[in-house]
Amino acid sequence: MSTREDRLLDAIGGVSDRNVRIAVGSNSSELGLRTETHHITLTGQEKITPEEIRRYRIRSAVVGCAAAVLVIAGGIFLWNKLKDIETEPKPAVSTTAAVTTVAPVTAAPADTTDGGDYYRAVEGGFSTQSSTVGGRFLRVVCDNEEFVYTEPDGITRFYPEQARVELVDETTGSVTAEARFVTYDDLVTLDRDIMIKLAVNGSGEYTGLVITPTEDGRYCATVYTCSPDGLMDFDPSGFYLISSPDDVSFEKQGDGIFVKNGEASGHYSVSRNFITYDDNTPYPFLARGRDINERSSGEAQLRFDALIIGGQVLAYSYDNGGTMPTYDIYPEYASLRLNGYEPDKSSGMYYVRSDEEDTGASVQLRSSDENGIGWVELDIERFDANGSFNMITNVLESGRVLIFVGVPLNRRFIVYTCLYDSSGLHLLPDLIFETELPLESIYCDGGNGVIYNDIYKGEKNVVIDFYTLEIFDRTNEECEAAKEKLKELTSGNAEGGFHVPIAPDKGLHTLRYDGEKFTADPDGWYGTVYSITAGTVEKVGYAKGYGNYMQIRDSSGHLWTYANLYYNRYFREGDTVHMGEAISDVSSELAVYCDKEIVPEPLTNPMIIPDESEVTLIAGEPKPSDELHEFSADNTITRRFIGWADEWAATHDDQYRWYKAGEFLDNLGVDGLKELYYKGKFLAGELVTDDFSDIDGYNGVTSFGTDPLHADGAVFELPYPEGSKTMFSFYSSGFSYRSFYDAWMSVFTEEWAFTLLNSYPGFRKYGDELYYVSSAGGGDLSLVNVEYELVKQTEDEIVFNAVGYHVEQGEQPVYDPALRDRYKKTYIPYRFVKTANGWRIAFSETFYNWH
Amino acid sequence: MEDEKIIELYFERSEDAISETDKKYGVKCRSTAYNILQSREDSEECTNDTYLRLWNVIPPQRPSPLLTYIMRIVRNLALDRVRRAKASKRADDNYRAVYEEIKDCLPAPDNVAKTVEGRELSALIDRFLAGQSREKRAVFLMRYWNFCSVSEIAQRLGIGESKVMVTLMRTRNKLREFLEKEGVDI
Repeated sequence: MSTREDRLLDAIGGVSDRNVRIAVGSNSSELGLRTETHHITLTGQEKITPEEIRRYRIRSAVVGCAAAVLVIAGGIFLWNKLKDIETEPKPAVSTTAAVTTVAPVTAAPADTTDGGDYYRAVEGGFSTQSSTVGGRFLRVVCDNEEFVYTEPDGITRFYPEQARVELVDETTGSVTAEARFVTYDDLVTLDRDIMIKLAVNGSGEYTGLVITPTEDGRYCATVYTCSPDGLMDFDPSGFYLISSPDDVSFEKQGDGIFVKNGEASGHYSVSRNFITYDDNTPYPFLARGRDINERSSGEAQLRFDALIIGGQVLAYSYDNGGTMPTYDIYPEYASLRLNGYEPDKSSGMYYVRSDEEDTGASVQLRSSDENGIGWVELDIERFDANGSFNMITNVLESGRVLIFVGVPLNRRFIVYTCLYDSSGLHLLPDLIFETELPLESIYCDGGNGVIYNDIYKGEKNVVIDFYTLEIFDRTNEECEAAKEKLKELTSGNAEGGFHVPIAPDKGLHTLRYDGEKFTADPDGWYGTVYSITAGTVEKVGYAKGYGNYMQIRDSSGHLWTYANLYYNRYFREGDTVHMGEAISDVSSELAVYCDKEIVPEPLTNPMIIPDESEVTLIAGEPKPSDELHEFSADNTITRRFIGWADEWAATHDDQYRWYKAGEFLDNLGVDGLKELYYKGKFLAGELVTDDFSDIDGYNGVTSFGTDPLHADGAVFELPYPEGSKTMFSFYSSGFSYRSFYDAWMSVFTEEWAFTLLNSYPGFRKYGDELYYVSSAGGGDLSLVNVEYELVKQTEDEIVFNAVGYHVEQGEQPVYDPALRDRYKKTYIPYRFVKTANGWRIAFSETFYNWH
Repeated sequence: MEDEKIIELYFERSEDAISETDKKYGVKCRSTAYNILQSREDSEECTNDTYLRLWNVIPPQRPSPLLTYIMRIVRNLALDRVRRAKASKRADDNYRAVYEEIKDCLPAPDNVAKTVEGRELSALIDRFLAGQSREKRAVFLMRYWNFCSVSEIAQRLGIGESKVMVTLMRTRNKLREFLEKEGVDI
């Protein structure tokens, strides 16, 4: 019969495909943790108005380039298959050129399993045109006006049943072959530039249709496949990354265009007849980027480094040793169709899936708006379980994806920046980048949803919270107040200015000042804390309510306290700190105070080793520290020292040793803890008697209950003799490293507290046994053996090392004494000093991190 | 090779079906199996059992996406082994550890709570996870779906092990609160 736990684990196994992908993911992309950063460089200084989409001209990329190639509208890509070419010749009714009767055309049907066709229109007509092959190009003609209409949104549509494909001789303009379309139920949407593209399968090959004359006067349509390498006979589609507009360059090579963008390059063919705009007309395009730095396993990480815009998408091949870029929309769309996905025509969007490698993302093409702007975005999950907006990075990414399939040459680009509102459907109209300084760059931390300019550099800070799209610099008064306060407090700082004490690379910019302190994201945050000011470290300590804290005095005399830091082992009192210097590895609920006095409560260390007459600690002579030997000749004593850990290790992984410590505290029970506490006070000289029963409050309320702050722990309160309460809280289960730490903080001396996190063991006489308790070892699965070496022994002091033997990660965690010298070793010092009340554990100046 | 092509190989009963599957998904299969079974041989066997399953199921099925289909099989087979005491002691201990942790997620007893399991419970968990940050979601799933060790999670996510542990604990608590709020029991 299965237990609740088993059923829960099974239910976890049954989560969605997306979550399974995350569970088994191995890189940040797969784990859904993609955190791209986006840089946009504006090469011009444009005043940005709320009515406009932001436009940034990219001029240099297109200078000197040859003619453009095919483009794909950022519109609704309904498509048709060039499936059944009718065999009966039809008279061509073209008003644009003299057309001769054409011979019947037979063609093998295009690959119907994937791929898509799309249309490109040239200005002035609805003809569409492909690239030129052998002096001929394909053109779609629809010249029956009854079957053409313009939508209110400006999109032009025509019925493809009324269209035909013409094979046109480039030189003479005569139509030498013709084929008709057969459509599905849908209309074909024709935007300004839509390209005919024949079937493309997803593996990097293209299926092309070539209509060529045969010797006997007929025309033969050939369907074939070709690789994306080199020049294409037909226009390839593909994507490449533009890291900055300046990086893209184009060269004409024969009939083709060679596009270079950093390490990526590709060829594609040219259609000289494509130019629909003159050189001076800005030519909007839709482009898209893809990380060209594929991992060795072939899994590409997607990166978007440029702006998106709308209009047209050009296609070209991506030369990467023949590997097709994996975000090829059209074949995937086709294959999606096979799998039952349908375009959402009402919203003008449809989904396509990304590459096979299950990055968990899908690519979505949106309809273009009235400006002919459309974009491609990565869409994972936009709304969370409560319906609130989630995964805003995708929206922002989509606002910044440059789909660059090819390039219209002899044109300038217009690059638009589009951001969505929280519904994900509409442009954010009032996102204003109003600055007094030219906005030269916008740094977008895709991972955390913030756009900002580095406040440290004094540029305008535009901070946008991805989750609310709130614009901090205009609307977040708290943020402003915090910054103002910081400025005010640091005005006398010798280095000038101030630094936000939270790592900008973590994207955390919500800095609030509540009148007393500065805080960061209240949900808790783990990252690096940086010093606001330059100064000198005045104190490093631990205090209740502040956790591990560091106090820095700046040159103007202000004392800055950074509270709730992780244990700091880098700074000592008297050290110099620079502004912006990292002062702590990690923090949670960071709080920064100015000019706050902290008086830590005195703590005592009740962990006393009994009188040495009860336990023989040392045997033998002191040995050099690089030799290892049995700590004690008396095995029973040794076992006592390590007996508890052994018993635990025999049944658990080492990483749970600290867990056991929590249980150990549990097992002490209320009385045990009480005794611990008061004994410590007595030994520290704070109490004059070791008869605790008389102490006021000792027999008072102590109860195990549930601490609302620590839901799975137990808390009990001991009345402190002076009247204030002391709260002990600890967890009885779970990975409560922090809470265990908190528990020990309540009990032990400051010295002890500092070393606790560094795996410093403690000893406790409990009943007739001597135990040591270690809070260490979390996650240290590599520990295979522990030995002890005596380092020093005098009348008043004993020092020995516990030597841990570790295997490398991935190796079998088994200790082989024959290979003793080959193991990686770590050393933890134990130091005991003799006091009038017995031996006690003492601080050791040197220690090694257990990890 | 694309999934469709691999599935075609199964349909054709081609011997390449398994090798192509292994080429594409073998690493992940063995990894998850090892996480649960803690033994190279056992995880190898489990992976092979998975492929056998696939062979018997395709055709007529055409699982899509193939990755998640395969991974679910691996996980179930591996867990089955452990639960039937056919795995190593190390695997038992490992399972036990996760088992103990997951206790934190169990809702407190409540007479009016509705008991859910299976798909319904999975859907609830999906909903819960959708409301968590990406990192919390990844940490939780890596541990309780994929049985990754704390150090492996820390390494893959580039965060400290302490943080992994606290994140796990907090997320477990949150799940329990979520389930309690939903008025369900397991």
